[in-house]
Amino acid sequence: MHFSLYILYLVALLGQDPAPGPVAIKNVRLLTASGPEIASGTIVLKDGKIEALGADVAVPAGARVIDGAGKVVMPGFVHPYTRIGGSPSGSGSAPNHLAIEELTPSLDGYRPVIRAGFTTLALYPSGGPLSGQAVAFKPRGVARDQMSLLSPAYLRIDIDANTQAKEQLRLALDGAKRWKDRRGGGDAKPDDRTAPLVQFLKGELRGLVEIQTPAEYLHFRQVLKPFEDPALKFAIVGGFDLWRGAEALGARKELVLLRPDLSYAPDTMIRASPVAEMIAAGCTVGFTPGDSFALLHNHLFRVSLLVKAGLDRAVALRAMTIVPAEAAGVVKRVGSLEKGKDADLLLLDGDPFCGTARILMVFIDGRVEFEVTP
Amino acid sequence: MNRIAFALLAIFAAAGSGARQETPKPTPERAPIYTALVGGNVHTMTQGVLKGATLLFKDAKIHRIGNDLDLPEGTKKIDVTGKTVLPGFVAATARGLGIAPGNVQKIADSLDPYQETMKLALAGGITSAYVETGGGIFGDRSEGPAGTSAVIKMSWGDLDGMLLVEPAAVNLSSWIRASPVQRLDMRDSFRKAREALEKIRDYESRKAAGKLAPNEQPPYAGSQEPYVRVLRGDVPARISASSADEIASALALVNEFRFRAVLLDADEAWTMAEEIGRARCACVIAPRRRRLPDKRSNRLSGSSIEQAAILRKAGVKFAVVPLQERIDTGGMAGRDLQMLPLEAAFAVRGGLDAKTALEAITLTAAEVLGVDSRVGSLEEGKDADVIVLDGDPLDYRTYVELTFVNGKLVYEKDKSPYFQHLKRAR
Repeated sequence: MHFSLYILYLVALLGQDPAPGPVAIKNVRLLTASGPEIASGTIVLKDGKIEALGADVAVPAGARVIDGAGKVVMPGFVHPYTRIGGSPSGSGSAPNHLAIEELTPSLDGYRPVIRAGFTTLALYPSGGPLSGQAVAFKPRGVARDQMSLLSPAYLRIDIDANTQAKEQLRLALDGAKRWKDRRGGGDAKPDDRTAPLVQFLKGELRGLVEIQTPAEYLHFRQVLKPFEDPALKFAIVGGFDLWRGAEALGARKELVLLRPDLSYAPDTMIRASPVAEMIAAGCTVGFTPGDSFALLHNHLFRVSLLVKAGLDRAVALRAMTIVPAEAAGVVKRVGSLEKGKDADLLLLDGDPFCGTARILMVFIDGRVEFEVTP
Repeated sequence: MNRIAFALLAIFAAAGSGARQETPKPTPERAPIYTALVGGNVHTMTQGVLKGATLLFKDAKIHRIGNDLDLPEGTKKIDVTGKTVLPGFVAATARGLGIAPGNVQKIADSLDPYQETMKLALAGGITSAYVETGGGIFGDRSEGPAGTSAVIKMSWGDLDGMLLVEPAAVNLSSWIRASPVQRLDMRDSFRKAREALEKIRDYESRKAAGKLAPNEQPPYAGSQEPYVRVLRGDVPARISASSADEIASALALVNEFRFRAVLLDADEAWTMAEEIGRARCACVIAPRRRRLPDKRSNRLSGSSIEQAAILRKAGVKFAVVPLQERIDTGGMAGRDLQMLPLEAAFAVRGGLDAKTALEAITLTAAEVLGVDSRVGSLEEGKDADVIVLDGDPLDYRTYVELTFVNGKLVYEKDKSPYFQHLKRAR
């Protein structure tokens, strides 16, 4: 039984060509997310990376050439805060818990995620105020190490507006700060639970803070105040209510991850746009779609509705790609179309925000992971 | 040596904490923000009404009040000519205001400066309120000294400026409904607390004289700690006592142990105003409440619309609250905290003078809560918690137009989704 499984894995490993041949998509509209869009150009993928892109890029010999006339290429979507790929029961709750240990490789379990356009996800460890460290991964590969893009990606913090939650966080940060401020001291090292918090305070490990309400945000900032350091970096995953504190969050230019949905003004049926409020206040907003497959497959459509409600297209594009990539700490590798970045991209049949856009092809590391059958 | 210094620090910290009012920390880096309300009729509460006066804020405090003030350069001027300017109203008791739901240990850690009900409170002119936690599954006042209490400000969006004092009181309402055995226990607790307080005072005087034994720890009051706080006068006790019978038993406890007490729901207080005055108790009353005499529940007199006037005559301090101590968009209109000044108007209808009626929702309410050094009147150095009205505060037609808390404009009727479309009736 075990032996036959190994054979299956081996077959799968061999079946995945380690270096797919170069691909060139030409005559295509390129939405780069990091720079201006290219109305009609060529993008070349080679050895898993973006080799070149621009209006006048030569197609290398031997490349698979795809005619992109009338079509659009954009970076793959990044899901910065997911439980997809994690153990259903969770696995412990401690700052040193690594989500990569519960990441489940699967030959075809991630197909629906890829088809929905997601090429990078970050699995957060569940449970508790300091539940551990996330792993950023690509939804392909048959081993954890193959899937992993960055581990640890960020330290997950969940804050509540009550004494117990605040004290717990304060105590943990206090312990870490003593190590951070330590000068000399020989070979002594912080214990396993404290070490990630020391890294967080030093800015070596990003944070990601789950904050439901604007009150929780102020309480979190109050706890963090004695530990503030310009190097310290964190993003916020916001609840549907967080936008009511947009002014306070905007004043500190927070990076906020929100569901791409409209909301209501309190006690009314008057439509409000949390994303627009946050951006107007000075925040950087990225999208986190939620985890059900219905939500994932409607991601582009939901964002289109925000564009309909007035969200700037360039901002919407960045909020699906480069901003969540930054929140997950992997922006150097993915999130935009740039030379040298991973060749993770989508080919669409038209403008992504037209409401009816369809994903035709999904590339991960230059390899076709999904293609609509004609 | 270091250890001793640390122990001393800890002692000072312990002595400095407790029920003291918390002052917001100054922020010296930036230049002060000046705001001036120009031309209003300013009801100061302590120095009469100043017509056409200017009220100048410096950051979160009232800087100057007067008729021909020199305004510093860069002052933001707001014209309130002909309007009525008052200290923000103080709700002597409130529910469902400013505290995030969930497990509340310290109110300071669960404050919600974005609660929507706070916008309604600000629209009603309320800038400070007493809130408490615990108190049974129905939130009634029968649970004894469990839970915590605080006086909070309606500082929309500002967490640091929200807490005035915590704990603000000890709830002793259980005394009223206690069985004889429970009453013995409670008396016993008071006696033990009195002994503990003597030890604490002895410790403090020896500490001041530098005569402490080496490594001596301050005495620990244990479960008597809330009673110690009451006996020391740090916080008042709050006792819900509706009928004359209940008020009499509350006064018996107060007279035995001599502490500062506030009687809540005191419907029949008017029948024994002199006794209440002698015991130096304050009252929290709802002048509009109608309670008919009822022999079966030992309520022989019932309520009286003249209650406030009678208490005033006996020299009893009282705060006025509405029939319902919550504030929201549901329920029967006009019975909740939204209508606090109208409640004071009912006291006037019962024979009270207008000045005392206004004080009952501002300065006296602040005194009852022990926060009158910060709020409740317009005086230089006090908190800039100010409301601007479009008429007489006790007129039912009057609306709050502007509300300032800690010097910041936190409510404007013209921009409120709830009230901007309502025009003042003629």
